[in-house]
Amino acid sequence: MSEPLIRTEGLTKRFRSGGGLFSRERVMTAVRDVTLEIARGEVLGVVGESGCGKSTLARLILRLIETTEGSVVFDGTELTALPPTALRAMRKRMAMVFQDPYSSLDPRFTLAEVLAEPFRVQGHDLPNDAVPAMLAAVGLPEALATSYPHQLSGGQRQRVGIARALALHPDLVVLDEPTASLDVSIQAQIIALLADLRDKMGLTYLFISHDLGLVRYFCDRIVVMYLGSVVEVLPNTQAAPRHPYTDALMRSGFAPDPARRREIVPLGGEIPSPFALPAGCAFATRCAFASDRCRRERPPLSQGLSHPVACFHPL
Amino acid sequence: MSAWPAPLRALRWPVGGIAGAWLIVIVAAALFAPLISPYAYDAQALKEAYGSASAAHWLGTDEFGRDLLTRLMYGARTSLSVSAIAISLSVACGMVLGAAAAWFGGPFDRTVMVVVDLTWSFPEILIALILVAIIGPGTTGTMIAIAVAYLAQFTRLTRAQIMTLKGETFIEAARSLGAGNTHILLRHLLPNAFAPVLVAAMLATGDAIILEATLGFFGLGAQPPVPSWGGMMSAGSALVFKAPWIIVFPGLAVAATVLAINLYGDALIAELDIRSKLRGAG
Repeated sequence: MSEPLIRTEGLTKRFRSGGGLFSRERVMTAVRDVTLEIARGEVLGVVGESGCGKSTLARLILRLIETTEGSVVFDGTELTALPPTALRAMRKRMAMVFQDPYSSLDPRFTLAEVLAEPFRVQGHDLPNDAVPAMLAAVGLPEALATSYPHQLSGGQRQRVGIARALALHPDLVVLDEPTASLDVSIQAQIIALLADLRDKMGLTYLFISHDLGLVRYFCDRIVVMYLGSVVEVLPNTQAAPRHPYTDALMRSGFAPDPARRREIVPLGGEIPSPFALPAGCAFATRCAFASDRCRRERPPLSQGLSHPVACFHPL
Repeated sequence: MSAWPAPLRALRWPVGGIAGAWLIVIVAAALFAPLISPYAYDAQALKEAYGSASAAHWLGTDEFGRDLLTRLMYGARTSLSVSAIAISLSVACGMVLGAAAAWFGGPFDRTVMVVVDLTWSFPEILIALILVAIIGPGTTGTMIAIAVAYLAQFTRLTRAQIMTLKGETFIEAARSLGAGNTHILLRHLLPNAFAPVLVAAMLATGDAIILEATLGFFGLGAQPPVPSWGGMMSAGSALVFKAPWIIVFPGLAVAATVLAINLYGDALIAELDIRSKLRGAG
């Protein structure tokens, strides 16, 4: 197997809050001990409910926030130790598309200025035909170049966000719930556009989403996160879940076909606080199969099964 | 239409237009006073003292027989220039301090805010008196006193703007492209913080005219015979029954100008507010 584009090792992020005159310092673990690889040309999906640390993981991989422990290797370069100037230069090889297309564009920039910014901050000359070509590549009319973001629809803005991310032909694009704040019909268009651009430009995607159905449609491999940890890595979209949490996630999806409607059993129990993670498996408080061992010890991401699963009682 | 800058678009509003027209008249009178005023501001004609409105003196004369219209025009020169320069100074210092405080945070932020809040807690009259004691009476002291009086407001406003903007996704997006601190501060943060500060500065100029008149009333601003609206009202206050026009006309000038600035400022707020446009479009 060739060298992966991204490899993380024991990636951990803890946020500290309080600790001033009036409150005790509290430590929140947002991402705990994440080790994963992204192969070139792959679409790796990351799913999990809100607050499970998937967006934090994305920002750690791009080093938009600093890691507490662990390492991120991008194409052979250790990112966590890179000096600021080298990191800024490295950023032309990795890009991000943000969840909220309304706040991810500066309201005072025209689209032409938004699309020129990647060239500008990297000190590259902006070719004359670059802005029209970038707009065309994401299916927007050239005439919009002089428009401001507030004159555009959500879907159009997200297309601008994608064009900006791809401006300098990056290797890796992190998509942080790029369709979560769009209408369903627009979501499909954006996903089709992303698939098309990946084929044309040979991109590698890290696709963050809470929508397992969408991830199964779009991604090659799927990482399932729960409370900051990876609980399962599905090697393809057809693989049957082995972790009880992944299984519950899949069962909670609505089927579009009324004949296939079934009863949805909601997960009981409470999510533990990320300020006080349990000693054992984080999912044990809500798991039907949990034993005493689950509550005492943290199950490692085992490699012995058909694919990596962090569970003592895999399905 | 939208190609016009917001300050011009604000004139298209009915109230904004009338207010703007008055401001243009006052500013023109101040700028061109030496050319268009009927008399010299210190030309005394003691025989015509305490004269009411007449063909020769449209607004009457004061206790030395000086033409009130002429003195009002020169007074506008003093009041407007002192207020505008003081507020510009205050905005410039406030934006630098506020942006630096928000950007660096931590102990620097706390120190700046404590010092700035201290300036807020001193009465302006006291600051003006101290400055008069140090540098002598005149408009410089008044300007600095007014600038100090408004410093906290602009520092706090800029700081709050930058703090909010720092958390916006487009800042993170710029960083993800490889933008450095200078680019983010100069191209994203300050331009976005500027519009609210501009409106606040506009409205503060109205308040500053009143403050300048107050300081002038106590004899702290421009020194006689140079007229200021506050100084003219001070002289007229002793003669309010004998020659009420001496105090009424400068009073009206202050009131009308401050009102016009506030009304025009309201129109400008409506024109500059990107978010309200966004609501209209969505």
